[in-house]
Amino acid sequence: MTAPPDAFATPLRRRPDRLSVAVVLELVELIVTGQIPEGELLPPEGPLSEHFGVSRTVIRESVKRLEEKGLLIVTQGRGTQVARSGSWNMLDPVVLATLIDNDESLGVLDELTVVRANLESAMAGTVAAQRTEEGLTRIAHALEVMREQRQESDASRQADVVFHLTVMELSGNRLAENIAKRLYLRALESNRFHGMGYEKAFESTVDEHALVLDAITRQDVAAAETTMRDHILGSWQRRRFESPARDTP
Amino acid sequence: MTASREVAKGLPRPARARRPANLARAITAELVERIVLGTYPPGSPLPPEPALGEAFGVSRTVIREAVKILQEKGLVQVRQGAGTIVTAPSRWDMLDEVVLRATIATDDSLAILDDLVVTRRLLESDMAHVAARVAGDETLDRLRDLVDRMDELVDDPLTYAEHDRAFHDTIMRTAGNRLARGVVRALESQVVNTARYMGRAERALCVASNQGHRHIYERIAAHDPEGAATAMFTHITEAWLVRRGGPEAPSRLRR
Repeated sequence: MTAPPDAFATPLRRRPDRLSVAVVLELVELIVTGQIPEGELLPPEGPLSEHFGVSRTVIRESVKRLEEKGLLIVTQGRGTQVARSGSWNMLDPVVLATLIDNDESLGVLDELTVVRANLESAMAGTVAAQRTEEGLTRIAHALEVMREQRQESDASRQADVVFHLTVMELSGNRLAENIAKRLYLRALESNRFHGMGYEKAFESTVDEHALVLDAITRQDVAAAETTMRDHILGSWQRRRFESPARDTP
Repeated sequence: MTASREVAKGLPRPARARRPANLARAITAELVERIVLGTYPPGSPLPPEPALGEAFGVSRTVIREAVKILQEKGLVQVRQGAGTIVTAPSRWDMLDEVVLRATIATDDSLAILDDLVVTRRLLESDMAHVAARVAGDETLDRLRDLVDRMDELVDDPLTYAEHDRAFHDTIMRTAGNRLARGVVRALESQVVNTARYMGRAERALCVASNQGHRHIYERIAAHDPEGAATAMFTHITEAWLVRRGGPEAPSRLRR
């Protein structure tokens, strides 16, 4: 079985620079969005190079990159097959970006929010347990900047991000910080992550951050975990668009 | 210095490793290790392309390819006029296999492995929580079969380890959070070959570990989300503590 021909019907406009990057992006999107379904064979190098208007060398290099991302399996004699989604590297920057850009049908922002809630709540707990005056001052400052704005603005959104990144950094868990931060910053680039405005969005955001800070100040580990988790899950639930394609567990 | 590098030094380079793409990858791995070790500290420039090319005995094209890969992994930033600058560690893609492998290999303390266990534990506990709510008969049968089979495999640590991974993966797939599973799989993939992480393969450890699995299975089968999450948390913590050893008290593992 080969991919449906219509996916390759129209030739792409030619991008002279960074050809292989463009081909990789295009192929990742075709696979992640299911336009070339799991288990299907990729068209041979010849037609692909014609479709993309690039040399076979560029195609070969691109296929190798997709193999590294777990999206393709190259089998001697059997051709190149789209891998089962279970073996895709979801955290690869290109794969993740494509998943998020197609969130409407893929629902990946729900999953991302759950991962953030798990990691950030634990990190808030750690920060509460090992509270330092300097750390407290930095978190409090971010909240203060949000408060001064009185309504949602670029500055308030920026202070919101600083609040979260500061808690992550103070936790001292380099891995959890790195993972949560990368997911968070990537999500922030997506319009769907900002979702729809809801009434009193700004007030409730500020209040929830204040609860987290309060719990950390009191060195209340359990409360720091709960307030951070409730904030991340709650604010996403309130602003997310309905996603008909997937049920959230 | 890592064991693999010690070994690599003594061996002749296989012919296929000399192909440009593989060459670039080998040089990338070396540069990643130097950056992670702090040989080239954050904020400092990478040596210029001609100097690197000369040092490694390769063309500038190969160096350029390697720098491009470093850029994709978030380790360097190419600034017009300022050259190639090493970025701050928080911008590195720690889940990238080369970066994570170098980070683990160059960390003499157990800190990075403790953090890895903490991170994995958080996500897997939550996934066990979800699995206890949504698991159907087919999943429960599979989990029970795996636990029963592992009881028979306690004298065969390698096969046991395969079933162990299948058990954890079944729960992650059931929970359905592809990103959370992706994080755990990326973390796991770089430590299964790390002796400090895997510890000794002993019958007693397999027996203890499978008691943990059975408990997790029972809580999931009872559709007890809190119980399943706690069982997973305890299992991952205990399995690591018996393998861990090390002088300092593992305060990072405290909940």
